[in-house]
Amino acid sequence: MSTIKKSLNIIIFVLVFLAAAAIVNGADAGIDEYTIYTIKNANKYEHSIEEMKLLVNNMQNAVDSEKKAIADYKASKYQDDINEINSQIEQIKFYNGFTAVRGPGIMVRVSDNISEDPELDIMERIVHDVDIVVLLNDLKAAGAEAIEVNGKRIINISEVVCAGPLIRVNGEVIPAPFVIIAIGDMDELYDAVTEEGTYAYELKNTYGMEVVAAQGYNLTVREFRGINYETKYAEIIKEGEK
Amino acid sequence: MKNRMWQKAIMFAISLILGIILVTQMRTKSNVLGTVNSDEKTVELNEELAKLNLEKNRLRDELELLKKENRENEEVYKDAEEELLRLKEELEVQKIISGYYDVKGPGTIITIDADPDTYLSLASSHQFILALISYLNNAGVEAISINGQRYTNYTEIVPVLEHINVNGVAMVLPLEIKAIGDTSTIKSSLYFVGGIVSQLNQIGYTIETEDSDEIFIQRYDGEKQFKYAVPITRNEDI
Repeated sequence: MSTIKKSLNIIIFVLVFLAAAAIVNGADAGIDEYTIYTIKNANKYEHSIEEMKLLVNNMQNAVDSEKKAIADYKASKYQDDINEINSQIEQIKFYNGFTAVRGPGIMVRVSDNISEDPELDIMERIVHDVDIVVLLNDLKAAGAEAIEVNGKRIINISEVVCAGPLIRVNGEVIPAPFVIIAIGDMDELYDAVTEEGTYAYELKNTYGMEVVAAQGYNLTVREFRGINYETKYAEIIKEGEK
Repeated sequence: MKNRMWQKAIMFAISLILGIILVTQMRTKSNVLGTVNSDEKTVELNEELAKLNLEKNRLRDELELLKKENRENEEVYKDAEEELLRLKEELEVQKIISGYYDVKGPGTIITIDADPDTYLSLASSHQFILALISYLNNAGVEAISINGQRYTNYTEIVPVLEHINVNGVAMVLPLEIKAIGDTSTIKSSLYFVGGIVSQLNQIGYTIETEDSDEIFIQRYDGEKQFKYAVPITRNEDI
């Protein structure tokens, strides 16, 4: 009995030992140095992935904001505005005489009386600034749409003033003979400088000056060349102001 | 009997300890490794990282292109903005010259009158008014009006009977001529010896000038139709 018991005890002991060994072995299940390394690596990967995701996210935001900026530029209408203002400027420049024009009209040449007429004072034989001013005004009154004197376009801010033996127009001096070109109704313009009683008629017939007028179907009048003309004093009164 | 009890107790204790160790081991393992195979997971993570890397590179290239486009746009639009500003200023200047807008600014008011006892025909002295305007322009004035009529590019001063018409409006003395510009230049352009003021005085007119910090000049209300003049475009030869 006691031998059986003893051997049974030994068997149980061995069995328990084996079971414990098996369990410990099973529980260990491949956790070796390599496994630990892999696990550490996996952690590192996860960390990198988090960082990368953040980076990608930031970049996506940057891309979106750049795209929005491009869309904003496309939506802005600078070019339309520029075209619109340019066409307004072209129109008003034509009106103001800042554009060269062509059309029918007349050409008038005026120069001093070079004869030695004893009845006329020397001052009366010379073409003065005021003579040109009056001729230009007569042409305007006859419906001239564009006028130039010796290539200088006459507009409402043009001066025609005496400068010794010369005349100053648009800041430049011009000598006699004065060649005036005016575009408009040929006959009306011609009459305005040839009919009896006109200022030009007087210059020619009373003061003996050379006044020659000729009609032309296709004359050219140059543009006012104060391209960089700037206003320093006048400003436009906006609606509602005053 | 007593011996048996001991044996049983020892067996129980050993089993208990073994059980605790076993469970602890299992838990630690699953905590450390998770439920999936660690090798598989590494491969998965690797793939994800590679994918993200590709995405990052793609975004970087895209961003570079977009930034370049924006830089170019910025330059183009900066130029456009400057151009627009310049054009607006040019348009403003042209509008002022045209006479189609009410304008204000510093300048001089010139009043031309005559003694009531003297007889003067304004019509026969219209060339002096024209000369006066010419001398105002010589002083660089930017806007002129005669008795409220804006002097435009197409304004004529026509003698009619004893008076003058300006923009088709009849006018008699006194004439009030407003000019916006530099007041001292205006004065020196009118008042020099033998100048337009002395010429006007000589034939009996009285001239008064008054400087003002703010002169208002009304716009011209008429219209000008062009029937003959045609603009020559820039490309065309003159």
